[in-house]
Parts: sequence; structure tokens; C-alpha cells
Amino acid sequence: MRDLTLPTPFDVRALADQIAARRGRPIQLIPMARLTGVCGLWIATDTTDLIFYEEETTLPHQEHIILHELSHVLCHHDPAPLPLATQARQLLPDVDPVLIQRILGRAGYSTEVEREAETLASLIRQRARPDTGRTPTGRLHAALDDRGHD
Amino acid sequence: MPESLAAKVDHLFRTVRPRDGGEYSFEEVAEAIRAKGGPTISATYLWQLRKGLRDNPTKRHLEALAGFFGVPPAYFFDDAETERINAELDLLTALRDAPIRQIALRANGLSAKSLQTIAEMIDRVRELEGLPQPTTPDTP
Repeated sequence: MRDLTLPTPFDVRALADQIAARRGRPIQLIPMARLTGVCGLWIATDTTDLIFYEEETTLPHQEHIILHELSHVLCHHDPAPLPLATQARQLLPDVDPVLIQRILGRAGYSTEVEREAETLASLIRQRARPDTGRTPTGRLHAALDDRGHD
Repeated sequence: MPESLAAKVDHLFRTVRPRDGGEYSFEEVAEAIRAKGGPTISATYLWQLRKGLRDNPTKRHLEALAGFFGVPPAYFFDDAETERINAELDLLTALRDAPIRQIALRANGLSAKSLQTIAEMIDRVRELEGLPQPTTPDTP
């Protein structure tokens, strides 16, 4: 939040562009009509953040909806993301959670895998030091390299 | 417009499918119901229900069938519930087929209409990402 330079005069689209540039992921703002009961929706795919907002309302309200969804995007990496199946349960109260897990389980699994990969990546990053050979990681690298000669 | 029993059974088979696969077979459903200690229901009878050749199942049969497909028994008995649950199932299918990692919205107790709108939005995700549409037989 501190790093954000709020555009003057304020323009929610410019702010979205700024956040997108900082995250290295495009943000698409997509107007939708007749979003009864839902003002806005944020969907993250592997490459893009999509923000849907109600277009049949006043401009200040549209801006507020977009800001709310942008805040989701900004907060996204703070808490551990829930698997898609867990998120879907809230949307689908009548459907058996076991069924939701069965159908969307793969997505949930991949979220866990992603998290695991991320943790591992940062562990490796923390441990990696330039002086290979002197640290356990360096020795491990050397050992792994040796195996290549088999 | 109220759906016939056959249409409801057919909808469950078409939308509630095993992961990465086609529809459940009548044998699989019959066997799963038997394994859970449910009433005896033959694969042939299930096929007849789906085709509309039989429309006289017992309440226990319908409860077991609803249980297998993960929907409340009211799906078969209450047309307002059918509409809402169908909307939820359509949304579930849309979520399954879309390349989505996260979804967030402020919403509680959404109407069937809102659920359909969300399913439409999710269907558009594929388009927006430039991916081909999934080849499901049940796309409207």
C-alpha cells in the first residue's frame, strides 16, 4: 500500500495498470450487466487477474466495486490461498462438499502443490550461497553433479 | 417450467461427472448405491429412469440417487430447489472447466439467476484467456 502512488486526479483504471505492472500480471476490467446480488467478482487464472463489475450502476459505484476487487488482488499473497474447492463451497451451499472436492479436487491439489513449490523455492533461495563446496547445499550440489558421471 | 423426472436424472448424469472422465455408468451408480447400503437398484432400472421409460421410483430410490450425485433429495421433489441446484451444478461445471486458481466475491445465498450469471462469467474466462471452449456435450 505504501509503495502505491495514487494517480491524481484519481483514476481507478490507472491504478489497476500500476498494480498490474508491479505484479507482472495483467489485470482486465470487464463490465457485466445484470449482476444481481453480486457487485463484482475477481477471478485469478494462471496468467491474468480478471475483475468483473456491474456496469448498470453509477460511475462512483462502479469505481468502488473495482477498488474492492483490486484490494482482493493486493491482499492476495498475504494469507495462504484456499484451494478452489474450499472457495467453491461457499458459492454452492446445496451441493455435497464431498462432490465439490471430487470435481474440483485437482485444482485444490495443484494449489497445494504450488504452495509447496513456493516454500521449497524460497528455502532453496535462502540456503543457496555463492561459495559452493563449503556449505551443505554446496556439498549436496557437488554430490549431485558427481552422480552425473555414472 | 417443471422438469420431468427423466430430465432431472439426465441432468445429474451429464453435469456430475468423475474427474477427467466421461459420465458415470449405470453400473457404477448402482454398485455405489449398493456399497453404501442403499436400496437395490439395477443398472437397467437407472437407464429406464433416465430415458423416461419408468417414472415410478420409490422415495428411497430417489434419495439414494440424490445422495450419489451429491445433491439434496429435494432436487427431485421441489421444482424451485431443482432450478437452484441446477444453477449450482452448472457453476460447478464451469469452475471445473475453467483455468481458474482463485475466485473471490462478496455474496451469500445467491439466487439461481445470480449463480447463472457467475457461471456465464466463468465461461467467458476461457474466451478472455484465448483458450478453446471445452467440448462438453451439455453446453447450451
